[in-house]
Amino acid sequence: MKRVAFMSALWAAIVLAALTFGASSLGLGEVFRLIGSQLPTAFQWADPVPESVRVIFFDIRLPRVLLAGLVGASLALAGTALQGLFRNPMASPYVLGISAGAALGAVVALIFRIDFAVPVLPAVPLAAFAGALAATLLVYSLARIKGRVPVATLLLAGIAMGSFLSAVVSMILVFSEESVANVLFWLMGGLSSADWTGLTLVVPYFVAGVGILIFSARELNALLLGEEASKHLGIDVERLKRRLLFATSLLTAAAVAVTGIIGFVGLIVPHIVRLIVGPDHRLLIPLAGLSGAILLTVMDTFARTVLTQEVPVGVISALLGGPFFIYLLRRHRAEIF
Amino acid sequence: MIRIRASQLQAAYDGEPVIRDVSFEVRRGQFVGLAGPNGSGKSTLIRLVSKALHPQKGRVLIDNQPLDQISREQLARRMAVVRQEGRLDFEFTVREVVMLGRIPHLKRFQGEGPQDACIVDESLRQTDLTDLSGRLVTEISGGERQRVAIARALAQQPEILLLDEPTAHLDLRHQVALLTLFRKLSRDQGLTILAVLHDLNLAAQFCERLMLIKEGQILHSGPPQGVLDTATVREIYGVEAAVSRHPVSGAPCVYPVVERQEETDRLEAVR
Repeated sequence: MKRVAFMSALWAAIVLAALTFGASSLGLGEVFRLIGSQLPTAFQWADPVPESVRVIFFDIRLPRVLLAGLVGASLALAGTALQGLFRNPMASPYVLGISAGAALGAVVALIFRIDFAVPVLPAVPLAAFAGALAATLLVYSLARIKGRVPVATLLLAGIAMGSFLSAVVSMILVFSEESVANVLFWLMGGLSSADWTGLTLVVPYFVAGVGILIFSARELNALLLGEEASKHLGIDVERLKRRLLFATSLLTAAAVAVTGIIGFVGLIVPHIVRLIVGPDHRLLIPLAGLSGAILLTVMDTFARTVLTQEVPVGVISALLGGPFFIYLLRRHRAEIF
Repeated sequence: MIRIRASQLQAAYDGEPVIRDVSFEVRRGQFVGLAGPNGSGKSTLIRLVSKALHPQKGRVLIDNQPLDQISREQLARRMAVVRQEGRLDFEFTVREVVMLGRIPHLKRFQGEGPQDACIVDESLRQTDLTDLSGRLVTEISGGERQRVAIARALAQQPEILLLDEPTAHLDLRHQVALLTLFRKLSRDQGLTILAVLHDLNLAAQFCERLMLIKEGQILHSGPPQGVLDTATVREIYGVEAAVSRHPVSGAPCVYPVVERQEETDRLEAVR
């Protein structure tokens, strides 16, 4: 519990720090004053901040920093659940093609401008969720041989599915008459279009996904013993698997609908956190979520400030994550082949 | 009081029958050994009784209650199962794995209390794992992992314990220690145990009853001294054996008779 409190505090500190960086940099004092201006009068400081700064801060920077955290947490949590579910440290929504499925769903909704009359069910995250769920079920049933899911088959099925679905996305973009530059930037994992609308659209998916994972934490621990052994501990394994696959689809959809495909966060974060705190999901789930939020907030701040040209955070994360994945592959080679 | 009652069980894999018309009963506090050749259906029988596999025909009653009417959760509070342990890839400590055995007794968000810690410590002590309790399960030997699985089953505090070759990877000391523990738990605490055992001599010494299974049928069942003889060993395993008595316990002992070339030659010469 102490560690969860510490990581929550660290995340809050990172958010405050990230809020000071940007095209027009703010002091920490200004950040506090801006936040205070939203609070009851008792907390307000003397001099008000100029209106232009207020707009930049509240309409652009704050939602972006919060969204980066939500996306990072979603991906890390989806990875944690998948690695536990498949008892395999190589699983992640990106490697298993689930992110590509969500991206295909979102692109279809964006390009064909699918919209529902019901305002509570916006099309893009819902389509991303449908795509993620379909990809998950396909990869899982492809990799399942006589009731077992061998590591190598699972990874191969996921990578094949991911490439295939990404190719379908490219085909749609090539033949679409829309200007695809924005879609491409989003697809590479850009957060530049972040706003409050985007945030409120995906928060329900995030909350539902996190809720299911916290609900299932102890069962995930038992599942590490193997499916049959966890049945003997009284766990309805088939129902647990369905529930977890549903939750990972929700979380992946939340992340992809906002920022396109960001690889590796879902792989690295659970792996590192597990190395540090061990495999108990009751600790792993909150800590991996917070670590993912911190990591992506830092990377996005880097992506939008350090270089002269803004780089999609997905590109940054792949630049860092690729070499790490190769390192993992080498470490686990004996188990896979 | 009859704990397990199986009647006319039938099961098949890919259309090939593995269990044919098997009926048996195990009373409360009995320690029953199940033996037979490889592929004779021993593990399948364990799976049928533990609800891991549905029979095609027949049914299993636990305390007179049909198995399919008992939920997995309820069953896990009454029955623990130890099967051949695969390797574990995740770095739990020995103690953490044994603590997982408390899951059936805890509510979803309930943490493990001091009572659970006591039960786990006792299970670790009984399986001689106290010194290893802080080690990672990825770093211990196969025999030690097997004992961890047994400790986890004991931490479940079951009324029925099903064991599939529990002593397979163990050295003689730990085989004897665990079989002694099983016999003690069955006698003193009324624990009902059904165990697949390969070593007929150890089974004969420790089990109250032996069931010998061949080609999916239980051919002999009864106290070891009534079941194990030359004819039965030949019938079940197709092996010639001399059967005598254990010099101390009096339990039957099976000595396979190997025809050595030199002995055959000597016999020839005499003729």
